Amino acid sequence: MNKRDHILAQIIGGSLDTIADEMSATVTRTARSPVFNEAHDFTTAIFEFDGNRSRLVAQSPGCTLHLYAVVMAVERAIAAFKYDLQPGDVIIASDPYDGGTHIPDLVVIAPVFHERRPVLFPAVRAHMGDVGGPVAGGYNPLARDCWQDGLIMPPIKVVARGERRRDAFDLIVGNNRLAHWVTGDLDSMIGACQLATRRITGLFDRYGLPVVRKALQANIDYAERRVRAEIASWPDGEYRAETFVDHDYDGHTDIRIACKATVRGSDLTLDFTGSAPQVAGFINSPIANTLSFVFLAVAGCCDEDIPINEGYMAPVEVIVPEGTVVNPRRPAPVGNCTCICGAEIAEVVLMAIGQAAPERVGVNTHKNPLAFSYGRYDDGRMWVQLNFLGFTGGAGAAYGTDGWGLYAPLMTGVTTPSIEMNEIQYPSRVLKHEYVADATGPGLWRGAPGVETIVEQLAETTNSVMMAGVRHPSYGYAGGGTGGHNRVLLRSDAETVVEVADFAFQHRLPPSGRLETIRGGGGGWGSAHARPAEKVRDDVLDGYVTVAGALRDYGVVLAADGTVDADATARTRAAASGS
Amino acid sequence: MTQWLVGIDVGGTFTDLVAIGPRGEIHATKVPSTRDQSEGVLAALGRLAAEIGRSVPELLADLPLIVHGTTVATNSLLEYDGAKVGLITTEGFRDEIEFRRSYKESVFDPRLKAPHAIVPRRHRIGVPERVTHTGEVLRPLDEAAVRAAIEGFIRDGIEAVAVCFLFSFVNPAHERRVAEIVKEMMPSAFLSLSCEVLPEIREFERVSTTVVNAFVGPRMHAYLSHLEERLRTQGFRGELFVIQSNGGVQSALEAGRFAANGLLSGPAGGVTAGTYLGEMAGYPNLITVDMGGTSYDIALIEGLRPAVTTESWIGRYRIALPMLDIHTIGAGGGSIAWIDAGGALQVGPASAGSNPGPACYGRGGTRPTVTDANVVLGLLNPEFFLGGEMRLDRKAAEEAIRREIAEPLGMPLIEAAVAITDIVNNNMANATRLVTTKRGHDPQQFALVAAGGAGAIHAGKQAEELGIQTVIVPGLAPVFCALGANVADLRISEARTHIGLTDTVDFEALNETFQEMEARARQRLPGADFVRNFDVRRSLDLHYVGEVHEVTVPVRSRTRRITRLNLEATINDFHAIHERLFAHKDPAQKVEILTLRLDLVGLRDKPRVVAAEFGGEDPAPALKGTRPIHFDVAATETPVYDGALLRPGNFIAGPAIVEQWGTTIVVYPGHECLIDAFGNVIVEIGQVQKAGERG
Amino acid sequence: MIVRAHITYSRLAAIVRELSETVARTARSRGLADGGRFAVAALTGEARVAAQHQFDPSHSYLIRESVAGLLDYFAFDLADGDVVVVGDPYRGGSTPQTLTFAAPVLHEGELVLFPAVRAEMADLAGSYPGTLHPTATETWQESIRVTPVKLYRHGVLQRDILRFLLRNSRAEALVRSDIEAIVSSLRAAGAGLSRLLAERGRATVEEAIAAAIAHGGRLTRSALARWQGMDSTVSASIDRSPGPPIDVRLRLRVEEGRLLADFDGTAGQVEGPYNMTLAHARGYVLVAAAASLLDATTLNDGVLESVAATAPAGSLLAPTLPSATGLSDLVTGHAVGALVREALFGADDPGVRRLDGPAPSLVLFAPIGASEENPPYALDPGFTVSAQGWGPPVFSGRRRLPSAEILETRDNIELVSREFMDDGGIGAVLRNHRGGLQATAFVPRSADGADGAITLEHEGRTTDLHRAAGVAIPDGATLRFRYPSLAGRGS
Repeated sequence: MNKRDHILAQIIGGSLDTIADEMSATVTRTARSPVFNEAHDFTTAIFEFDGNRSRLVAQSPGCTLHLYAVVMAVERAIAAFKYDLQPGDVIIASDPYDGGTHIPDLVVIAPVFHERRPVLFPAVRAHMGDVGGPVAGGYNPLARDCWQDGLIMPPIKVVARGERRRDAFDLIVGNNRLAHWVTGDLDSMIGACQLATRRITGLFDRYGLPVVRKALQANIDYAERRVRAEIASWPDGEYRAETFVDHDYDGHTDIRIACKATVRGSDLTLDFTGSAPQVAGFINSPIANTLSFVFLAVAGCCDEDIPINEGYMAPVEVIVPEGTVVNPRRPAPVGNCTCICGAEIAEVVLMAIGQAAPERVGVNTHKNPLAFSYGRYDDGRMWVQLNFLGFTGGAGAAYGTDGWGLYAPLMTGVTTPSIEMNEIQYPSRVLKHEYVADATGPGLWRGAPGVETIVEQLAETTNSVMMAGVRHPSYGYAGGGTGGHNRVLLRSDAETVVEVADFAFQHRLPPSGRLETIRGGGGGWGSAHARPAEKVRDDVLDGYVTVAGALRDYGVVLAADGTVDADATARTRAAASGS
Repeated sequence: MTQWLVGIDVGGTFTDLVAIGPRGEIHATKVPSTRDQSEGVLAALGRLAAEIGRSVPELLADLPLIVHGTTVATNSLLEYDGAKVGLITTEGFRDEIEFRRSYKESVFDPRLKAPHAIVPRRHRIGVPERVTHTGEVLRPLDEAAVRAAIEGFIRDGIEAVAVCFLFSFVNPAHERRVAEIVKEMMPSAFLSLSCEVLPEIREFERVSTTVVNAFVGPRMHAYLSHLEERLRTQGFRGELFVIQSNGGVQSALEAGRFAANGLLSGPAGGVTAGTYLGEMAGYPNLITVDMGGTSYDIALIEGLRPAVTTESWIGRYRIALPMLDIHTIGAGGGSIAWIDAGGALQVGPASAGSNPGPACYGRGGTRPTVTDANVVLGLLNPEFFLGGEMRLDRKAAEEAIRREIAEPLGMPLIEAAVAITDIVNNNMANATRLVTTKRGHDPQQFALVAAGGAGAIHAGKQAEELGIQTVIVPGLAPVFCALGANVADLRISEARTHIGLTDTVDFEALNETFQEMEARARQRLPGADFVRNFDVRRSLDLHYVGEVHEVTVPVRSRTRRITRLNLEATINDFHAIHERLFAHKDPAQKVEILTLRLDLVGLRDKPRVVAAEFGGEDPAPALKGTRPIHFDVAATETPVYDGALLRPGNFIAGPAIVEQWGTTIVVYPGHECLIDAFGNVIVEIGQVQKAGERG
Repeated sequence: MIVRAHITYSRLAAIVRELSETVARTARSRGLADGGRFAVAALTGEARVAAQHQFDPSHSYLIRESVAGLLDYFAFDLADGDVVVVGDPYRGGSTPQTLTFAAPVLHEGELVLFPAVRAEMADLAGSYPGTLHPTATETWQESIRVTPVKLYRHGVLQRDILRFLLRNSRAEALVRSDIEAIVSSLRAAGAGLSRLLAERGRATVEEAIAAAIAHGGRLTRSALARWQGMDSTVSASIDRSPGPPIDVRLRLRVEEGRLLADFDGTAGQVEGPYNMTLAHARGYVLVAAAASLLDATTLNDGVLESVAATAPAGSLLAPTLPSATGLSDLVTGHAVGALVREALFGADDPGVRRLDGPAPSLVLFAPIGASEENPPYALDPGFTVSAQGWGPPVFSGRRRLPSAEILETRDNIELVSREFMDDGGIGAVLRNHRGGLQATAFVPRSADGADGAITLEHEGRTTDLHRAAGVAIPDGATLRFRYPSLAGRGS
């Protein structure tokens, strides 16, 4: 293809990304349930189908966790309607064993036709407030099969040839506790896909299919070249790593996730052989979820300006033995996989690559101490509140930067709710949402501090908590320290308080009961003793690190007047490295 | 109007002045901008005085008003060169400004660094206090804690104090009390209260805006008093007004107190000028683009009302104030073309600026820029830059492009230059789509106003990309913002959060709030003697229950009162707008009011610009000659006209080049242009060709 | 004329009976094949029951209500070849997991007469396989809600809808074959009905139906005539241990031969699965009052219309979404029926008139998550002995004792012993050889202490299973069932 085509490719690629942005704007503004419009727990993207495989071609930055998982959803949706796909159709799907991850992450897909063939597929994937099933909110720590996770939604047409299929739509909404929210949510997702369909059709009319296809291929090739260049810069070899999930919510601890990264020239193979067999509890990660987290880990190792598309995964081969916790068989429960063991999957990949390219790896912060509360409004409608403020945080360090803010990039693009909005939408009041000192991974670059959150529930609530990152907090890289441990307390009153060890299920709290969380900070990067003493002092002044912490974690001695005692510091650091 | 009107706009490269005389005669000048912006302002005034043969004091003495657009606030934020700020906030919430609701500019780059802390944590103090969302005091303000905090501030040499408590938009008592204590303990400190800066729900948006206001406030305040001082000593007795981000103008005093309102003081003038132009030339729907040396500003005007947003991020800080919705990307004449690690050609966002500037400036710049490409393609005349005030070095331009683009990509020089312009055009087109289609507007319903030195070179291609039919190049394109300063109205924007379902609205309370807002607006609105009449615009931020983003809907009311009837009309509009923006509506769903907005506009008399008689169609008298131009890879011998000699009514069929002072207009093949009665160049776009079939 | 109408109607009734037999013959799940846990009917375009065939009191009004719900929902969007389905306690239903299938047949473009089947599916997800979930607090925990959907459109299978149902079942194979059986039975019946219409002519058929409905009404009214003018109010309470008992209050009147049951004063809906939809309760009123009659005549709208029931919305007998209703047949229905009998015959009347008699229930399944296919296995080795002293009570529906040989050879459940106990009840002892299992179990408690029991014995430990969800039943464990006898007891 000649140079002009390259230019054209950039132009068409840019237009598709813009369309994905439009979809994203539509969803953000019109979805109903806070978990999704306020938290932005969704992604919009556009996929290509070439007859046998689906490929990511354009996206709008959103909740990155969703992004690559949609690839498979699109393939399965097409397979499901092989000879019955029409222009104007819109498909909804969420089946962990049919291209999905955990059930609350529902995907809406619309085929865009050109000359009687479906070519591009705009899709929205979002986390729904509820998915029916045994437990409100879709997180059931007692789940032992996927039906105890919630309603399974194999690909189903909610719009056929542009006409709303009311019975199919109502079937989904009728099995949802939050019908009053979910109806609006689905409408906005469908609206976004239909809008994208119009825009994409315009693109076809303008450039013609061959040009568009060529352009998409060029963009994918381009990204692939960039990623291959990155991988080629790593020393060839086999790099083994393992990490562990705290527990499987069924009494077993330290569930092994193993990864062998093989670098050969510009090829990368990630082999998860040796990971634990699938477990009874709801941490099993369906293949789409596993690939999604692998994609994130790989993307994080590459330059930020590479267009996000299938090209990232082209050089990467992923081996996931069936029947393991990273590729379970139906009907293993999977409810919590988008946090754990998703986080551990990304972590282990980064640990392995880190041995080859330490400066490219960093951050992994998705070991969320999930908690949600539900209750009823005065009019009897149920509300479900995911404790976003409480579990969001733990940004880890990366080469060249301390962790900062709440989440790190890569692990999510969600926005935490407004505290004031929250107090208006729910009978609950946030009493504290602030950094706590030390509760993070020290390092040449340190993780973001831990976050303490106290939510007071004004009415009676039922609360479920699913701990993670307690036995195995986020690990640091290149000698960086381990992140802070998560803690969640359920307080009924001044005396009665329960600290959640692994999980709490439907724990009742009386009015003015409290959910108290400490979200551990992220892992550090590099040796803490290499951190300039003055930066440690600044952290002390800013209350990110205590004086004691400065000495314990960084070997930095501060004099009474708060200045650095250079000599003492040198001595302690020398002693530490000596021992 | 018997006196001179003067508008002065300070830009990154030039300080522009437009003066309109008693008989509607127009003087425009450009002088280089200066570090102390008042230098440039006085230099420009000096030029004007000279041109109309008067001394500066004479001129200043009978100027009733100077309207000023300045980038002081913007630069102070972008360069993080602001005041030392201390923040007092509700205990337990001092990190919200750092949490940023977990927003990060990149979701894929783990190495993304934190933004510069304009208020480091050590200066963020939480004090015990709490009011509920209904306004009751849950926990009284701990004044001792406040005093302790302020003592710390004094010790650390804090210059500005920002105060932001939860739910202060419902009950500001605690913030006001803190203000009293600050005034008492550190009287010289600059004060920024969230209940004054942005009395709206959402703590992060509010605290960020309030802190930014404190950060840029002292600089802006100092600059404006300094400028006013200098003008006064030179005999100025009139009023100094400043252009605000909302497109209105404001007294220097208020502009200093609420400096966050001045963050778009520069580009806002261009949008205002666009509105004026649209009214004059009869185009109510416009997309104004301003392509300068480093940036490309896009704004949308519908029905002569510029689009306004409350969702801006500037300098990585969230500003939730209503601002003209100006979308800026790093694409200008100085934008550098480069080849990335994957061998793809990129243009910008890095810019060679004005120093060293593009290679062709011959000031030591070696990187190829958009301007260089335009020179190579023949679109720009090296001999006629800034009307000949500056010569361009064609060789240097060719050399830079050959060395850094053509050879690495293995393309001929011309193809490389074409590629550079294609990429920058496309970047601009996509950016323009974002402010049109993404907001539910169809670009084809709009005319494109091309301002700024480089705007008119690329506008034609933009229009093709977007399917726009008409491009307007204003006679004053190079000094468009300064023109805006002359025509901007006085404007105060007030907002109050007032939550309630539309079907259970307490109209008494609603109207009371609106009246209180109007009263405050009137007391904040200066210079009533320049105002022909007042226009009060009320609107409501509405959403379906559960939605957490709002749509601002103008209230359909002829009277001052909101009634059941006009509220219903407004809600119908809401459904319609919602559908236009988001492809669906849900009239069955309950609608909630979140925020009341009121704009008090003091309408000024617009300068009367004389409409000239249409002469003949033939532009021949203005023909300077021809030169080969590469609209694409192949060159076309193209006629070149002298804009100064073109007359209203002249008609030119593309391809052609019109060179006028400060800008070059490219009439692409298939396009046609006409000079209108006000000296604007109106370009009509022909059939859009399929991009796929080119090259 | 009358005769011709009579012949026509008996043809219709025959088609319906045939439909019932085809379903029983072709369905594979034990619930349908042996348990007769289904009902069939032919309905008119106004959703009136022309003729209905059922073995189980729990269906009486529910085909009609469910079909009415379907007709309302799809209104004018019904055509030949459609098969529409609903299974929602809150749209004409009762217990979860019971689907109503209707196959509209258009006669000259109009909906005149069409067949419907209402049947309990082996499993439609929820927390546990099968319907039994004694600790459920919401309908979604018992099973998915099947709101009205088209399974076939113009004769074309809507694959995604079918896939949706099957993917939400732990007994995919059984549910699939039962649905196929039901649909083909419906098609056959539909053909039969159109033939009838074609041969006899619409007018004749409609007259015949009208006549039969009128006749059914007359029969019922005459059966009720002996209570003409009666107006009595009775109340009882349903055991809900560990929770407090639930009060049920009934005012029963007979006016112009119609039986009016007013449950005003009954407790509000409860968190447990004891709630019962009003149409469901109405069925128990009907059966309680006219059981003998029902055996003699074909059930149709005339019979159904002779009984009315009312209850305040949000009460136990008119619950609102998402209240759980899983135990309504097992417990609440019996209580309602007993109250009706008491109101009709008086408390001191000999118990021989009693039709109620809740029985212990147990459902076995493989450990949750162990396998993709995990069909429930309802174990009913005996029955509560009816007040009549033999056979199961009417309200327990049709129950056949599973044969010991079958149990042991086919199901790997060793029936150690099964015989009458001293108190006249039935005792059964079984041993599990199916491997490690789990179970849900429930033992209703009646006011007069005529309780059954289920106990689990394993390695010397004995566990009482009167209210169990997901309890482990190890391989080799012994299960002891005790079914009470109501013979000779008062109410």
